[in-house]
Parts: sequence; C-alpha cells; structure tokens
Amino acid sequence: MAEWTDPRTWADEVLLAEQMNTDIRDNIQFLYDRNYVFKTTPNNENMTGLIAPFTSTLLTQGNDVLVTFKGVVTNTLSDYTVFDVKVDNDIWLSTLTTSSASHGLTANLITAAFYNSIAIRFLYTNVPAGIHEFRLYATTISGSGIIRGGMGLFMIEEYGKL
Amino acid sequence: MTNTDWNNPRNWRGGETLTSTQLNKQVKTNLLRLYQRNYAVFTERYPAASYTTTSTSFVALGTEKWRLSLISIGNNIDINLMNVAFNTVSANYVYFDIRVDDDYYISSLTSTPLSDGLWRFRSIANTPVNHVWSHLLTGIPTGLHSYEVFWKVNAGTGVVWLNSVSQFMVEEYGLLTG
Repeated sequence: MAEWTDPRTWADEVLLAEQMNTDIRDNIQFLYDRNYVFKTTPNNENMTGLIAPFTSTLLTQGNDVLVTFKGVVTNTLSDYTVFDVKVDNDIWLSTLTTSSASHGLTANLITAAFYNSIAIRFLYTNVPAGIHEFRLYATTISGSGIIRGGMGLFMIEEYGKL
Repeated sequence: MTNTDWNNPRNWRGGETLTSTQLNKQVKTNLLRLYQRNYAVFTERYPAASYTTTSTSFVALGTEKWRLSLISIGNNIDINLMNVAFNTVSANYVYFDIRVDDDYYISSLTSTPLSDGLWRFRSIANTPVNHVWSHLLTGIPTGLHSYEVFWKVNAGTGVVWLNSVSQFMVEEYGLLTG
C-alpha cells in the first residue's frame, strides 16, 4: 500500500520524477486505497468475561480513527452485553483512561435468549501517529453472552483530521 | 475544523507552461482536502444525568448541546448518531430527527417534521438499547449550516442513558452522480 506524504509546496522549478511519484502518484494511491483493517468473527463467539475476539493493528499518521463494529448478540439471562475498545493495551475508548466504564463504549440490555443487533460507529480523535492496536472487548453483567450470526465485523480506519 | 479548500480541478492544455501556483492550488491543496476530510463531531461520555423528555413534539436534545456547525461547499452531508436510549414505558416509541439551520427537519425537509421523525424505535420499558443512526442529506447548498439533534416520544419518558457514550457527527460527503 502506498504511503501518504504531506504534499510539498511547489516552487518554480524543474519537475522531478521522484517528486511526482512521491507527492502525486503515491498520495493519490493512498487516498484511493484508504488505510484500514478489519476482522470478522465466526458464529457463536462466546463472551465469557472480558474476551478479545477482534484485534486489529493500524499504522496511522496522526489523524482521527474511525472504529466500527456490527454484530448480533444474545445473553442467556436478561442482562447487559457490554462492548468497549482498548487501544494499545492501555486506554479504553469509553473513558480514555486505563479503566473501562461500567457499561463500556456501548451496551444493550437484552431479554434472556433474545437476539439484539449491536453497532459501534465511533470517531476516536487526537490519536498520535504510530502503530496502534485496537482490541474489541465484550462482556456481560451477568449471564453468558454470545456473538451470534457470524460475520461480525470490526473495522478500524484512519480518518481525517478535525 | 472546517476544511473547504477544494478547487475544482482545471482542464490542462497541451503545451502550456506548468506553474507552481497551479500545482499548489490544483494538486497540493486538493490532496490535503481529500486527506483531511471535512467534518465536525461531538462526543459525550457518561454524562452526570440521563437526558429525558416527555415531549410528544420534537424538542432539542440538551440545550443546543447536540448541535454541530459545518461549512460545506455544495456536497451532500453524512450524518451519524450513536447512543443508548429507551422509553420508561413498554411498547412506546422514541423518535429522533435532525433540524438544519434552525429551520427544517431532515425527515420532511420542511419546518414540520414527519410524525415518525427520521429515526425511531419501540422500546421495552427501561431497557437501554444501543443505536447507530445514519443518513445522507442531499441537496444542501454551499455555506455554513447547523445540524441539531431533536427528539420526542409518543408517550412515557424518553431517555438517552447516562451510562453510555454518545457521539454525533456530520461530514461533507460527495455529490450524487446518478
């Protein structure tokens, strides 16, 4: 994949192939390709305690990062399924601290054995440049949670800049 | 941030002298615009209290808190709202709509919103449920525009839950070509 290079300020000068390739070709290719990673999950992923079925690593260049997840979840008891994302094995998106909030980044209170869709579309801002690991965690307050239906999708994309 | 530094790409002519002004305007500025994008976002993590409403007509969520402004240059607008909400009374609804420029609602594109709003759900009593809502608003003219979240219920009390993270985002998108 092409890398992004902040495009140069052109002066009245002779155009060099190297500049054209770096500043124009590679940058256009970068915008076309986009910079993202994603994971899908198999059916019936158990959520017994805090588990991490999805882990994605992305090299970013100081831009915001869009975190998305969609899936179908159920709980054996009438209680919550809770989702959060931990970055760099350090901070949680629910709090931006090393402690997750009580009901994570988002949660569903599910009637026992019912299926609910769950979705996250969250822009994580002020992300420093570098390689970052994004790990989706899921848990329940009580009961056994299961991600059902297969093809749950967890996607991380380098976005723009506020 | 509002990033409106887009220049419609020129038609290059054979034999003309390529100038640095053209390269900076047509290449550098436009590449940066595509790279940085143009959007506004508001995030709230675990507010001190839930938002509630018993209004059966649309009212602002919070007091101009869920309101974003964005300068756009004639393109469509992608709107996204994530929250966890419910109604205190079973089988009742919570409705959301977006009011643009303190003038019209996206559901109807008039000053009178549709009765079902732009998005709605039927709730089990006091049962927080996760939602991600999306909409592409087309035909919005160039300029500064405000986008504000409105909501209502048909009965009972609507709640955007305190134990959650909510996010509202508007982004200048592309133009429809078909």
